[in-house]
Amino acid sequence: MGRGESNNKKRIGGEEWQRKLKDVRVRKEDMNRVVMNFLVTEGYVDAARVFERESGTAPGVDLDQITDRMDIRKAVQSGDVEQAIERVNDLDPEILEEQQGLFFHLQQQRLIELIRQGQLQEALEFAQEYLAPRGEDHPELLEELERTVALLVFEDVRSSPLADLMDVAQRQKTASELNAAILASQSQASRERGEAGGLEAEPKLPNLLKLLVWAQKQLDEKATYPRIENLVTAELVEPPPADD
Amino acid sequence: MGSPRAAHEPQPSELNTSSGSLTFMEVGKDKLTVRYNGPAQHDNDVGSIQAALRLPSCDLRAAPSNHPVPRRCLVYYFEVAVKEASGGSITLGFSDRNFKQGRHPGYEPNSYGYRGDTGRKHHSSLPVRGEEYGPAFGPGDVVGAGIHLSKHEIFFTKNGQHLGTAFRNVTGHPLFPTIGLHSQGASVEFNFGRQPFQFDARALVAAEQRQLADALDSTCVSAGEVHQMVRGYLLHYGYAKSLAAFDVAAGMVGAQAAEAEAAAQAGTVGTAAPPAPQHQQQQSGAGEAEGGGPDGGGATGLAVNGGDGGGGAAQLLSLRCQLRQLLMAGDTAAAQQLLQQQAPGLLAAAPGGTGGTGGSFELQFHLACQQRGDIPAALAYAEGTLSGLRGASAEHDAVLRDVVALIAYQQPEQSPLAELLSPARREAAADIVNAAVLRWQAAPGAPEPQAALEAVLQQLTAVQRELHELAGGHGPEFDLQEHLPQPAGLAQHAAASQQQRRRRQEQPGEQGEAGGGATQEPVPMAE
Repeated sequence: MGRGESNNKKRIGGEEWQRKLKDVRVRKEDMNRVVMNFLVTEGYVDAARVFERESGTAPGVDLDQITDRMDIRKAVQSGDVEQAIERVNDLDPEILEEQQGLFFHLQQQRLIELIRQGQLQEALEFAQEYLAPRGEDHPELLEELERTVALLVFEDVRSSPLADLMDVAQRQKTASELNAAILASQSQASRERGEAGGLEAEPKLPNLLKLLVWAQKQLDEKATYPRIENLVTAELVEPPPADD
Repeated sequence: MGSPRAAHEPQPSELNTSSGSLTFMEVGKDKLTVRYNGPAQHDNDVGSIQAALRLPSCDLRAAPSNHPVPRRCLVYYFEVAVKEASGGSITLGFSDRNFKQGRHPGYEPNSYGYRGDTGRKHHSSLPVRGEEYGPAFGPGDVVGAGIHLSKHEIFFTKNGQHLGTAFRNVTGHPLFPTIGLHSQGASVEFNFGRQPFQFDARALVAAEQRQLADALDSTCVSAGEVHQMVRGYLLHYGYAKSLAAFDVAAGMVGAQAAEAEAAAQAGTVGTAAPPAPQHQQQQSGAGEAEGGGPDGGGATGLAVNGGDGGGGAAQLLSLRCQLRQLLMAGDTAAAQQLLQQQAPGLLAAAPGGTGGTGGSFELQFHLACQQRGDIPAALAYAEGTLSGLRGASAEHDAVLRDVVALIAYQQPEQSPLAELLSPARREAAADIVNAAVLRWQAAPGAPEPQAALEAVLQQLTAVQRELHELAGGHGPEFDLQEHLPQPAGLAQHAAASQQQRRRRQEQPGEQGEAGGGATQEPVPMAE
């Protein structure tokens, strides 16, 4: 079926694709587990507890054991980066020492929060004192640094091209990166103690989404079909009509 | 859905000596060694042997071995040690069912060969003299042949060295490992994996996995998108309290988050909470979708608070949340009453009538009676309401039958039908009701409301299936389960076995499974 016809891409129309989608059964409890796994791995302990009650999905781990990560995440997401850094260092100072990129992102977040609070003078000093030297040491961070510092230039950052940095998603991104680093260090520690089990360092959901993006790219080479372009709406976009 | 693992497919394990006469060759008792005893004078006195089907179904003159190359593994590989040879030629390769005995592989259609005296490769698409490929090989050498099934490529190795891809767009499956001998006193020994290979074919699989991991690493999916997807899921299914807790913790701000919180609070108060009148008013016009429409214009959904498929799912959240709570608690009657109050006409209007939402309620109610041990009530209910539900669909009738059959058991929880009383079952009913409410408030003709997470997982599976089909059904099949979190009970076990696997990988000399995974089917190796 269409094998070897590399120039002639197979065309799968909307109706045919819908039929194929209907053939795929995704079990509810599997989706519940994906969500629970996300909540637990990302340190959303409260939400995980409630979700367990509402959906009957077992968390699979002792939720009491992840309070550290929960607190640290809360700190980042409420804009208190300093407290988050302090807590991480209490937990394991090596995490931030060894991961310069992560540390930079936390400092970046701190700058963003200062700007959000309108403390521009402090923000400027902070950028000069802490962020600039880091950029010199790590040229790969320079571009991000420039982008962040440019926030100081705009009077109304929210309508600037850099508005994404001010978004809640930026906090989530920073919090997730920090959370993953703590998890990695904790699971390594438990492995060194020879314990079986424990948490995986990454939630499954981002990987599933990446897998979809990748698989669609693979299939693009061989066929046209309705794609999901926007993961958040998951809307199917029909391929453009054939040329002929 | 479990994909047949490569390990479960039959694979070549020995040479086939059961099909007619073996010309010019004698096969050892182990069915792995072959000795050429022909004169090696003319072109037509080649002795060749396949690792092929046990049944002599085709008119093979040569003796094949017992199974073709399995289709669902990523890479199939075998090796041959050349023990003795004196001049002449030995050709290693693959051939199809119709391969004519007495020929070298590569000299017949749908066969592929790597020739020892010249190092050239042979295939019907190439000139008769073949084409330059690798070094020559002879006594003392171990040569290997492999098929990369999802890439449709054949490669060869010599003494553990990969010699590069020899053939692309390989056709003629199923193919069989084959050797052609035309050298006096030549003797070779096959290794189908019972012994360690000289070439580490598992490294090839591992490299492929690493490639995929790298590709995924460089694929950008933002934390924001992932958060929105989780949020959309909680919203779609009416997990209002989880949603409120998540919104607070994830710093989700905005009107919709506030709404979620309000809904969650309404949910806590339970039945005493006043209905959400504005939704009802909005709906009174029999599906006149004002207020943005449930799909929120689709593409615009990427705004800060998108992810719920627009305002639609947010609406009636408190109602859906309460319904879910009541159904999960087994209080079907209250749920039904609430639905009648707040979404008048929904139960009657449900498409499919009895088989849909209404039927789901009736069944749950009946189940609740049974669970309470109120058998007379259950019986009366079965005779009255349930019997009227029959005939919606065969599937529905089967469920109905099982549900009623529960009455027969003294302890239904211990019966073979106990699954019907499980929380999962209740959740399934709650999901049906939830979907009905969403559908009810959606504009006519709007697509079936669906959580983005479900749509994404469906699309992922459909795309992977399509890829597999376009690859001619070769290579490992995609199994979504392998990419999902383990159920709680299995998590420990999985972690332990993962550790074991890691340990095994640290000892490369040891034989074993290379590890299971969608693209990581082990190179088949006989136990």
